Amino acid sequence: MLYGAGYDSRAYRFSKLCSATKIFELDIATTQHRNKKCLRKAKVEIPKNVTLVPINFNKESLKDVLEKAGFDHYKKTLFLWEGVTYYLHPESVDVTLDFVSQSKHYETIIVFDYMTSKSEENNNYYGVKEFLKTMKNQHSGEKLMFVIEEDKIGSYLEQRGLKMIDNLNNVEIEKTFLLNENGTLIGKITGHFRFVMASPKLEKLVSENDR
Amino acid sequence: MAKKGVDKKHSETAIFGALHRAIANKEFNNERFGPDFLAEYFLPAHFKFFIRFKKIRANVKKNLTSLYQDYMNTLLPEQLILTLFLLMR
Repeated sequence: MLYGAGYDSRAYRFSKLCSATKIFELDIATTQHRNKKCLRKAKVEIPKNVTLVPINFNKESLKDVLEKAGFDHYKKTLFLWEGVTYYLHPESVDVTLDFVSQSKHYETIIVFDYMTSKSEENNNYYGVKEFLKTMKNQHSGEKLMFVIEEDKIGSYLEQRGLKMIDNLNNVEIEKTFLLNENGTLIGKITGHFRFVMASPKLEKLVSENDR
Repeated sequence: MAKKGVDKKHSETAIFGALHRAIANKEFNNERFGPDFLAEYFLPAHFKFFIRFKKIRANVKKNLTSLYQDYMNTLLPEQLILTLFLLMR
């Protein structure tokens, strides 16, 4: 499940590896329309196991949209939510996390990135001031609306029926994903970005066989 | 003319995400990062043209937050030749 898929092309590049996996790409209709147009121009066929689902995260019910698209809560699901949360109203983030927390498969996982709230300390972290200035001046149509306070992610998820599996700050993201073989950094992460992995808090183990 | 609401326009930040991946595909070891050879297909024509040039890609990598938006968003067609000339020196 790719929330806010944008121009993510993994479903097409890895189509042979994922052929047995049902993939849902969710995004606003205009981006999806452009996405399809670009794929057609590149002569890339959308595989049969990929379903493009248009949605306005701030206005439509995720549950209704996904159920109509054929999503099954009992299937093991990986929810990938990259580059989206900070553009949503807090209530819309709640709706999405609530949906994930109601998943019936105990191995379902959500992975998403988020921004921490601005503080005197992190305002001076790498790239924060420039990022905020650029968003304000260059992308004023995509406002930053959602943050999670530093070190509160565990309790935030707990309150929404999810348990945190892992959380990486910007330094940990750099060390995990951006290290050259010689130990130098390939690049840096803007200082207030974080990655988190969580799963539903299920009272008992539930899988497809328990339906 | 009134600006379109965010749900009426396609996402600009998604395009910049594709831009990063298209540049990474040209610059980095594909075995390590996975070649997103499709990213370029999602770019507007002028982005596709600019990222052919190593100096521009190097500038984008160096100034990932502010400069590349200035380059890419505000570069006007009539300035194109002059800018390329300056970058190619």
